[in-house]
Amino acid sequence: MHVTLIHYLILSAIMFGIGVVGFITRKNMVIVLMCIELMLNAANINFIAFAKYRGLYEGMSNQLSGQVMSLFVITIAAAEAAVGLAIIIVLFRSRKTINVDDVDLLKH
Amino acid sequence: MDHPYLPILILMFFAFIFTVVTIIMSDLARPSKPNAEKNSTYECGAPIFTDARGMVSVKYYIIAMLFLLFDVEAAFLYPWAINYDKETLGLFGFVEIVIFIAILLVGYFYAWRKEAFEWES
Amino acid sequence: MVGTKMIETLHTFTSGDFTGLMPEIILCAFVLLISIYDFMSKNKDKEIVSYLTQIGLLATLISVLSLIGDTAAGDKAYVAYNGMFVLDNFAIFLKAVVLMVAVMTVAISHKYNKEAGYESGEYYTLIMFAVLGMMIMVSGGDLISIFVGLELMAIPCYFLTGVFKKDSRSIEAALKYFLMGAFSSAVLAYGISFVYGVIGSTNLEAIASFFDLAVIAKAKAGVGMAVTPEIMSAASAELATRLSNPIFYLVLVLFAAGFGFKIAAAPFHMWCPDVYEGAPTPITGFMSTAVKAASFAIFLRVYATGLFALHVNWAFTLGILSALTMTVGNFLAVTQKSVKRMLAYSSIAHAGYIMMGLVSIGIVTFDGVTLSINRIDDGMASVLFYLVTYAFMNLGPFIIIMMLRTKRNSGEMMADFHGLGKRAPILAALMLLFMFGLTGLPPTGGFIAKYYLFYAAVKANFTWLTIVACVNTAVSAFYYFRLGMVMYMYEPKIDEEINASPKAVHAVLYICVLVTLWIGIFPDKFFEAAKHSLMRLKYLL
Repeated sequence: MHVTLIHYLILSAIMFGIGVVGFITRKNMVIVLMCIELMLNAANINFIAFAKYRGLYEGMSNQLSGQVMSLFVITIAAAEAAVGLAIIIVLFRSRKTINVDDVDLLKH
Repeated sequence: MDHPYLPILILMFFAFIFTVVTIIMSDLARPSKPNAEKNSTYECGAPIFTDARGMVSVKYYIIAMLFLLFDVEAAFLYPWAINYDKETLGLFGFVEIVIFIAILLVGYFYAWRKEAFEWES
Repeated sequence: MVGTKMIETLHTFTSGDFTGLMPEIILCAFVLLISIYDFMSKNKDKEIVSYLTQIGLLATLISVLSLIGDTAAGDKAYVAYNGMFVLDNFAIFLKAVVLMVAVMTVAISHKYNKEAGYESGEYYTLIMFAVLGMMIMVSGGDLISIFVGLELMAIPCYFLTGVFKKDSRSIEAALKYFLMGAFSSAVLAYGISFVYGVIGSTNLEAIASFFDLAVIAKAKAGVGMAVTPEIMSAASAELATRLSNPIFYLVLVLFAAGFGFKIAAAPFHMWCPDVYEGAPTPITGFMSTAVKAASFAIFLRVYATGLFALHVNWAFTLGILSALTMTVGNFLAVTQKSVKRMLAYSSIAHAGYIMMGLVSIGIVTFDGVTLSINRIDDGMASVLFYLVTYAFMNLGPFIIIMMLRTKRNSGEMMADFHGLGKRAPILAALMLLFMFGLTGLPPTGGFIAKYYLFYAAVKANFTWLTIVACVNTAVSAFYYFRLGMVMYMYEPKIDEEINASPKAVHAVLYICVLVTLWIGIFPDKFFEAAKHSLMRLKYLL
């Protein structure tokens, strides 16, 4: 059995699914942040796998735009992680909690 | 038998066997004289003073954030460095990357000025 | 070896690439210089930074407007960086709107922030970064640049929401906005990855030509060969297979969720009321106008160019989302006690109305044999027309809320508006005018804009959606006019004097009023601008 495109897609779908489920169910904000990273990296795996296999299909070693996109997604993921950590720190300083459920001042 | 991942499987198998065998061997070979000092958690020889699941200082998060941001900068420098040569990118490509680094330097000086690098504050 | 091969496929840059990018370069230079000035200066008062920011944004606006002639003169839109950056009239129109809103937001912010005790230079630089993101986004000709621009817009907005960092409501709003925004970005990225996987490119033009019968036929015929009827029928069969690829259903779902979060369409609207309520009021105004306009612009560009061939698949679904969005927004707005929160729900409802224009960009006709989709220019023009009208008539109420803030009262609650007709007759009259506009009544621009949307929807055979929208307008009249009743029929609850606001705030408020009335009474110029901005829309005509 060789690793083909479909295996990468299944891997990324599983990662994306774990990310979505974690995002919805987990209470700890840092873990929620990690779930978002997982989802972005699932997209990254897709991009790289598609770049490789589309490149083979078109007779090249690699196709560029998928690789470029994954670089941008990595950057954006880093920026989002930094923003998320900053917001979590500020929230912890004002509320002494990082539990998502405790953050409910703005409700009607 | 020429599966491309077969060597990895063999490696994993031997790694597992080696670990299990050495643990069992050393357990059988060593003398067993336990005392309270020996049964405590090993932490580089220093005595334990807190629970490992305690809170981590916020300062570490700020360092982590800065590390993350400037680390990703390298992700953009790699493709540039690999593709750089005089004919294609030339002076223009060099100026471009200098501008890129200059923009990031503004962020670096901002962090410096805001005392993000000060451990004691 | 691999390296040199990659370089060959890259477009080599020329200095000509910079002419169309000048506004972005100018703005970027201003952001960097202003932030250096800000963190080097010892001055705690940020008034100078605020003025510098306004100068920077105005300079950018001038350079955007100076580009109008350039693209209109040529046959083609200006394209740079391998089609990543597109400068057409559509982009110029939206950049102008976004920059105007940003200048007004900066002009009204300084005193508000100072009184709240959160003066910071970052506030201004972050607004400029968000504007830079919007400008890149509305010029995006490739899903990569659109995605990067979207993030460059969104990330400063998370911070701007939480800029009052000791106010727990502001932080909470920032957290919610961040979590939802990051989630939607991840969903969008995952969707883009499948588009790339199936089509092999993220360029909107490449995506459009993937579904173009003529392009497929030409590729089948080979270089320089005539397209015979056999090749043509083979090409139609190929196109049918491409269109029915189930991956595109997944893509459409992921895109609808990703963009739906950004524009706060139901059922992805939950974050919106909390964020709008918790954010500083000028930022709420900015987010509900500029951010919304830019997000809709990109929604429109992607769906009207790259994904237009799939219109049959997405139009009805988005139509249902549109009906749901306006209904949820209007019905929940009725019960609100906070005016700011009510306006947040009203903004959700308006997103629903604008989506009505989005689904009306094409009409599907079936002559018994073939299914064909035709473009309706009015659909797109009505979205742009509504976005510019809405930008001015929705910023106004937030400015009034801001002006009503006193030492003890936030100015955000219904109670602050009790008897406003007696406390501040002019502000009450202007608020009523904006409520007229938001309901969609003459003589304001809201009437013309809404009428135009309805007209486009009927033209596109979305009569049922128009009826839903009419019912919703009636519901919305209820809560907009309840505010009017509260202002004129009730006795004042608050005996505090209303603070005098700086001249700049008054000036911005009157600009909003004038533009709202101007669009309502002399809409011709704005119609022309909206229609003109569709001319030479890249990858469309």
